[in-house]
Amino acid sequence: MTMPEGEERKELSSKTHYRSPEKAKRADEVFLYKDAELMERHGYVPYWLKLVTIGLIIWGLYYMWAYWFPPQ
Amino acid sequence: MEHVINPDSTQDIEASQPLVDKELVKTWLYWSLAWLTIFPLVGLLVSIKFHNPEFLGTEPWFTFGRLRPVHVNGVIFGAFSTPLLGLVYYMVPRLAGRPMAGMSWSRWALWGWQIFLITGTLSFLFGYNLGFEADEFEWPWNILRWAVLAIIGGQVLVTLFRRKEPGFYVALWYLTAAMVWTLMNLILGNVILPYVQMSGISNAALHGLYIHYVVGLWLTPAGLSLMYYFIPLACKNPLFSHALSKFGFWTIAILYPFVGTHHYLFSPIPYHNQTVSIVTSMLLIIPVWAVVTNHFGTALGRWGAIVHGTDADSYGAKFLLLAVFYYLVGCFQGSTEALRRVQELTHFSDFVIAHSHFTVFGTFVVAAVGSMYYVWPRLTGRQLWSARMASWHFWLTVAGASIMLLGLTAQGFIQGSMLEYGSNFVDTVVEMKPWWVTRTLAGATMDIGFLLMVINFIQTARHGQHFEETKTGEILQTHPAGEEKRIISTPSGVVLIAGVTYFFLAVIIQGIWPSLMPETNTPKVTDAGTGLPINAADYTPQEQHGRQVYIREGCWYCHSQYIRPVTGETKRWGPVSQAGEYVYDQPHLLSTRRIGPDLFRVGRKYGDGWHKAHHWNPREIVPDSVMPRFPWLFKSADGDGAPKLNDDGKALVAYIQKLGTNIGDWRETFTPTRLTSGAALQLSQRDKQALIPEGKKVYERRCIGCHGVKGNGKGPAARFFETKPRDFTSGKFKFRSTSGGPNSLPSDQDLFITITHGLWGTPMPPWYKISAEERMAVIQYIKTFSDRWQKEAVNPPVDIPPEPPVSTASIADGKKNFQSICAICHGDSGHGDGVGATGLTDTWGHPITPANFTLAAGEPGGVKLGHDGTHIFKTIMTGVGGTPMPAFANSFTPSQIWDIVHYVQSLRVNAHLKEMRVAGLDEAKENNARRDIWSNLSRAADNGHIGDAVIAGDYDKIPVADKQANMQVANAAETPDKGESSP
Repeated sequence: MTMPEGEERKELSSKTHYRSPEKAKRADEVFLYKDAELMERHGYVPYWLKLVTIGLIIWGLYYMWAYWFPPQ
Repeated sequence: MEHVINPDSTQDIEASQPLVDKELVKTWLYWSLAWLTIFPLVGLLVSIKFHNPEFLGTEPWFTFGRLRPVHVNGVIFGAFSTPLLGLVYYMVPRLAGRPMAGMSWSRWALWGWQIFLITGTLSFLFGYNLGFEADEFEWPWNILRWAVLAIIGGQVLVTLFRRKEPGFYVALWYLTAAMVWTLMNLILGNVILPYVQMSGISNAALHGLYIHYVVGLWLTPAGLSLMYYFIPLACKNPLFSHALSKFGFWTIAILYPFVGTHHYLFSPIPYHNQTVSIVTSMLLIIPVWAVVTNHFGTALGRWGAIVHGTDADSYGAKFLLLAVFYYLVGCFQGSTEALRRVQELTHFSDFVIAHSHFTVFGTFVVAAVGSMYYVWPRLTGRQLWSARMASWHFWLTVAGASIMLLGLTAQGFIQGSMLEYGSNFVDTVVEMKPWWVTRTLAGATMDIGFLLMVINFIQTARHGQHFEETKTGEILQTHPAGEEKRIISTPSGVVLIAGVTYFFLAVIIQGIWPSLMPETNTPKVTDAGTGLPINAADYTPQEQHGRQVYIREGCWYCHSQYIRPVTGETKRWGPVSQAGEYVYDQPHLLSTRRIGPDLFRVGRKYGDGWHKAHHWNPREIVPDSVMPRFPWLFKSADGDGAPKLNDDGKALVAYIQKLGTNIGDWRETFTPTRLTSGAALQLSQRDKQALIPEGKKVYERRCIGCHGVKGNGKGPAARFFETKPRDFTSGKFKFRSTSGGPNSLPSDQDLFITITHGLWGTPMPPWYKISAEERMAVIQYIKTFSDRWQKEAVNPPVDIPPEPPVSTASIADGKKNFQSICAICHGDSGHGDGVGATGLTDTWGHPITPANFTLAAGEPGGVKLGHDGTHIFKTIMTGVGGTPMPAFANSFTPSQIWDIVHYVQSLRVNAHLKEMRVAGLDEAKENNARRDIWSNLSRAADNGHIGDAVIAGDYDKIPVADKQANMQVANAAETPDKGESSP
């Protein structure tokens, strides 16, 4: 399968995300869906998105607690 | 060993078939081109009506209320779903590694879908409408739509479960879930919502879910399946992250089913359900950012090639990435819009329309367009005919969509801010008009882009150069996608956990739980005047008929029916909506948009004549109105008279007059006559003169339709009224505080009160929502119509002594005087049916009837400025100008007049109590109710100066001789504040 790979792609490669070479290697694996000729990296979930997730969940729990009942 | 092909073997038949039936997909996409052109174009027609309401305004089938569902449903199910369903036949076989299962059903699905769209559209134009937003089709079209989606959904599922490709790609997760969710959601929307009997609030809670499932569980997952499939292909890069795909999909699947209640925040839907919807709406930021990161990550390293590319793939990528950008912006807007404070300001406004266009059009329609650009050369075998035309299409879309979406967002903030700061509603509509023109131009820009696309695609199919798949770039080491064993990564997991479990969990928590709350299901409401529980009344057959007309004509697209306890809505329209008031409302008509004002409490605000004139031609009575005309609700005029309402029209007016009246006689005190106009009345003559030009403007915008250009009461709307508008040229006014008889000139304060309060039961509405300065200015202008203001002085106001305590003796004495004099016209019981009542006319010869004191605020024939004691006292003292009601200042002593006032008030108190008894008032609480009603009408009673016998309701039984004794009882109470009773 031939596909171009640009500079930006390399900068965001999994090696910068994972310290563990095994995990980085796993994240860099590319899978091919043959008939669709479609490729997919295993990839990763960015840390910043995990932080956003945690932050929003904490906010959500607070909001539920604070606004479960209408103000009197 | 050589395999011999067996023509009867299914396996061999499939093996001999091409993966994709290109002719089938091509036919779907040809239809898509038609719908991509037609349904957005209908939106353009709808948009024009906002700033040119007469445009296509004389035929019922082109009125706003009928074209609007054509546009919305057309874009969702035509412009987006048609290419989506066509592309399903392209994506699924290629991702499954085998031809689509059940292909013999495919043609039925293709033509069934087009028949659904064509005949369904016609059904809207003919006025068939179920009354639920995004769920307007009647049952024949619902069955057809469901059958087609069931066929295609079945084909998809069978193909997936029999796939040869071991990997289960993320596009298929979304597509599978979309199919399962939507087939269940359509049962919710098409069967349960309209046909399972439930209260209006239960209906709204479930409809909130349904409406957002159309967006969140159809458009979103189906649209994302297109993006996940075509973005890596069009960008010629691997998908950025499988891990991110899983994260995004499952967070969407968990969160999206819960959010729909955010359409009805601040409604009587239980507060905790609203809170759940707000939290899940905000948490949707997580999957949205995951999806966006994944797609932009996929394009990394390829931006240069995409931006500079001129082939179909590059244009496909451009449209798809544009869709991702709009997804990011539109969804962030949607999440934050669910926050209570943001929604206070922006809900019901164009901010919501910006969000829906960002997501439905900007994201998913544009994604479908991008996918079509990628696929079209592969279906036709020809290269894109014109890169220049594709470029124009792209940039027209960028320009049009961006201008429209930014404009609509700004409009939302502007209108919301104006309303929050107390502007008159029509004034905020006027402020929107230039923005709406811009929206029309932006929409036209996008529609031109679609036309270019259609031309380009047709020319590509006919004249494009030969297309051949090319492979460029570096070689990547790949592995075959393997089958994952974890349940969440399998078709079964997607169908059962995401598709079924989360859906039902959300419906139970957000839809069924609110229905179990007792307040949702009973007609119990709190009477606004007394705070006591009563029951809401069901609609009469005529009102129910009117409700159907209201639904058919799409009134609910522009008028909400719920008053929120925020942004001054209770001051603008009336008390907050209560759950029990909706118990007979199925379909509920809470609505999500206010192009016109909320109508939940509009009943009795205007007289029937006003509604007649308004429906005949809204601009005759409200020059700034953008409401459509409804001439088909009228019969031909008799002779030279005004057109008469037909049965539909009468029923509609009856329904409108019923709205908001189930919480008792709240309007009695909503706009009191105990007003002052503050500093405005202290102006010097010179300052008043200076106000005349401003007053002329106010008059021309708000008064001219009834009172006419010359102020003679012969405006274009006047022909519809039984109570004719005042002829200002005569200088005679009904209600005055000034001495000198019934034709004395009123003070500015008197006119200010009449303008502010309006005249109940007549076409004269209250104008409390325009500024005091405007009211003062128009008073100065009105005074220019008669030279009496130059020739005569305004007399000083009559003296109004402090109101004595309300006692049975006072009432009994008042009754005696009333029956000896007033009853001649008003009747013994104050019903306006005395022997002298027939044949009365006013100064201009118009028939006139004496007031019926027992009627509630706004009922035709009742009092016009309320039952407030001071007002009635003034009216008895000064008479009613231009009518047979004389001034009694010299006939009765002030004390006698107060007695008559108390008797007149007692008539209304008794009638009000009777209404409450009919509405189920607890007998044990009657005295409480009577005391509160008296307090609303009488300042003395409000200050506690009311006898126990009056509160006990014994005043009709106590003889006149007891007056002295009762007075002593009442005088034992606190002495009234004399200053309060002064005018």
